[in-house]
Order: sequence, then C-alpha cells, then structure tokens
Amino acid sequence: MKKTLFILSLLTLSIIGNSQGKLATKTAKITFHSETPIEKIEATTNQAAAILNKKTGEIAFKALIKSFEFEKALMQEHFNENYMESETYPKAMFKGKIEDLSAVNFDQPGNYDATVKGSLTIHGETKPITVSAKIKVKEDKKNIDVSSNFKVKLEDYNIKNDKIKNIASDIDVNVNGSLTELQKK
Amino acid sequence: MTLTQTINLLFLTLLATNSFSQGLFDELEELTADSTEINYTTATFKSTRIINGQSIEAPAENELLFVIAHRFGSFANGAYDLFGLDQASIRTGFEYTLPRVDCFTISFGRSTYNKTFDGGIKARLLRQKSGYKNSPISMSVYSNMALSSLRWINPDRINYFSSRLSFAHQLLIARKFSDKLSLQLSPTVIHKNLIKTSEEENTYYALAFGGRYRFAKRVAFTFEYSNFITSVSNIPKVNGQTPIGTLSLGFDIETGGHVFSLAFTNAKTMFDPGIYSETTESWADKGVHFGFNVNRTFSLGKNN
Repeated sequence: MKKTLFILSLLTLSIIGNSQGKLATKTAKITFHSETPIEKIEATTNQAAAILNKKTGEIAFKALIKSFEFEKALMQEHFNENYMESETYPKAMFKGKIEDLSAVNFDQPGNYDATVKGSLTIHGETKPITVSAKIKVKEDKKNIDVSSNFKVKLEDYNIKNDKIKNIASDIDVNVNGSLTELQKK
Repeated sequence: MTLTQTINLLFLTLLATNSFSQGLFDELEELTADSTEINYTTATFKSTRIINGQSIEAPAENELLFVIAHRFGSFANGAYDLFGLDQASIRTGFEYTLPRVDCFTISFGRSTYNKTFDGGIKARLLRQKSGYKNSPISMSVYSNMALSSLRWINPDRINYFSSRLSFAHQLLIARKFSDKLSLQLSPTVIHKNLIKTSEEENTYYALAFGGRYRFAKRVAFTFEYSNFITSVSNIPKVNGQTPIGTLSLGFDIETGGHVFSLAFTNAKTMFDPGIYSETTESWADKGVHFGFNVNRTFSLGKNN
C-alpha cells in the first residue's frame, strides 16, 4: 500500500513538475497586412493558440485561417477561397525554439530580445524561418508577453497572387500573445 | 522492495515521463481540442443566383449587390436573328443585407419583360457548419412579389391592382459537398392573382434543382433544372401556351469585385415568379437564350 502511494505521489509529482515551466494562451493576436497602390488589406485573428516551454525554449503557434477577419467580407471570402484554400489547409502553424535561451531569464521580470528559429507552415507548405521576438516577463513571473514582426513571401508558400498584383508579394505579419502558466486539469 | 515492484515502478515512471515528453505541438493541439469554435461553410455559390433561380447565398452584411441580368433572344430563328442577339431582355436589380441582423436580405428589380417590378426578401434559417456545432445543410426562405406594370388590355372594364401581382415562395436547401461541388434543392410555390379560366389554378408547385462544379479557382460550371409538380393542365397558360420546366447551363467567372455568370437557358424572364411560370420555349425547339448576369458588390461599411 505504502509503495502504491509512493508510486502515485511520484507520478503526480512528475505531472506537476512537467506542467510547470509551460505557458500558453488561446487568444494570441495575429495581424497581417499587405499594401499595394491598388488595395490595402488588413486582417486580424484573436484566436491563435500558443505554447512556450521555459526550460527548453520551445515555442509553438497555431491559427485557424478562417478565423482571420477582414474589413470587407468579400476580401475574407477571396482570402479563404482563392488564396489560402482554407478548406484544404485550415491551419497555419509555427514551431520553433529560442536560439539564445541563456539571454532570457524567465525568473527575472523585464524585457528580452530573442531570436526564434523554427518552421512555419502555411497553405500546406513548411519553410524554415528565423524571427526576432520580444519577450516580456511580467512582475508575477507567471505571465509572459511574446511579440514578433516578420515578413512572409507569398511564393514561398505557393500562394498565387493575381495577375494584376493587388496583393503585396511580401506580407507583414505581427504576432502578439500574452501567455499564462499552464494549469493541468 | 522486490524486483517486480522495482520494475513496476521504473516502468510506471518511464511511462509517465514518456507521455509528458510528447511534442510541445501535441500539447498545443490538446489545449485547443475543447475549442468551441464553429467552422461556417462559406461561398457555397459564387452569387445570389445559381443561374436564374435564387441560391442560398446573400450579400454579406451591409453590402449592396448590383445585378444586371441580360438575356438575348432565342436561337429559334437562327441566323436571321443572329442567333437571338437581335433581341434583348434585361433585369436590373439591387440586393442588400441589413446590418446587425445579417441574416435578412431585401432585393428590388425591374425587368423589361411585361415591364415588371419585383421585390424580394430572403431570410437565412440555417448555415452549414462543422466543429462545436454541426449542420450538414444551409437553408433559407425566399419570397418574391412581382408587379407587371403593363397598361391594361381592356381599360374600360374594372381592373384591380391586385391582378398585376404574382408571387414565388421558395425554401432553399443547399449543401457544399466539397470545395468544388455544391448542390441545391428549392421547393417552390407560385401564385398568380389573375388567371384566365376556371380550370387553371392560382397556386401551383414546382421543384428546382441546381448546383455548381468549380473546376478552376475562379471558374465554376453551373446548372439548374426546374419543373412543375402540379399537373400541367392546371397551370395558367401564357399567350395560349402551357408553361414548361426550365433548364439552364452556364459558367460563373469571378474577378475580384465582380462575378460574371454566362448561361444558356430556355427561361426568358429573370424575376422569380416569371422564371417558374412564364417559360414556354423548349430546348428541343431551339428555344434557348444566351445570357449573362453581372454581379457587382459595393461595401457600404466596415465588416464587424
């Protein structure tokens, strides 16, 4: 009996130990914009999910393409139907790792600059990408803000532009998330 | 501690660590697994008509759609009429989806055929969706009232305003089966206030079936067939001829803010009560008209 308890407590400990050090959110904000002389396009989602492992520096993002909202409904329809083919490729994903993890002290509130190296999957195409990110450890150390700006080249992800090019060939993407310590159920 | 117990313990710990060292990405998937997100099906059809008849689609909230529909004459007279190009029948119309209630669309149009004004309302009952909530189909109701503004044939007798009116009421049931294929079934009730003989019925029924096959990103093949359920002998005649079902074949071509529909059809009219009650020419007798619809969307405000 004692041994069973011991095993159980060991297990519980390992569960707790493991869930600690991970932060996540389901309401990260991703905005992108494209500007050409013909048209200015901007879209936002507030429903991206993100997770960060403090120990390993691993970080992952996921967003549903259909959750992006545009100023004009027709833009949104064309975005989903003609460019992103969101029925076939419903998600955009990022999986990466903080390069210089030693430069980020998660136990010390403050602002840190980090380089995140990983792979970005959009429209069914996965490409390596390196982005610079800002990491802000909040006072309570349980909340961390992560933000980043980077460019996505349409042709890298096999997204076909119109002949009249009313979309920029490089899209500016802005990612912003407030991650909180993960609680295991 | 016995050996078995040690092994057990080791095994259990291993199992535990193993399941936790799963990829961070799987954890992210897990995190969003209980998501209450609903994935609404969009763009079942490219425009608010499949060809002649209404589709399940409506302009987005606070968008004004301008539709110019044009049908040339029929092929019946061959080269003499330049295969119908000598004649023209037009309907111009507007459709507008009310902001905030976003499931309610009003439309208005004027056709050259019998100098007809028509007004319609379309209300969305059900949207095809998956995810947290599911629905395999989209469903809308549509009603159109048409008013012929022709001068009375016998101005001397008592003519009632109500005699100018005819109606079409439809239940639109559609499903987008894939990115490419969408089909729709539209049970239809037609009512004509004025009929000529007592054998004819004021109210009769039709069934329309249509769909699209999107074979390129911006181009789709469209088709539509409708026929009467009510016995043909009871259907009001048009210039002495019994109305027949309609068959339309066409293409939808999308170019940014416009959708062009090109079609061949035996229906000459482009307002709903007319489509299902005034069509007398048949494909077999070359009673086919070439025509097009041009749809132009104007955004009147921000989409929020």
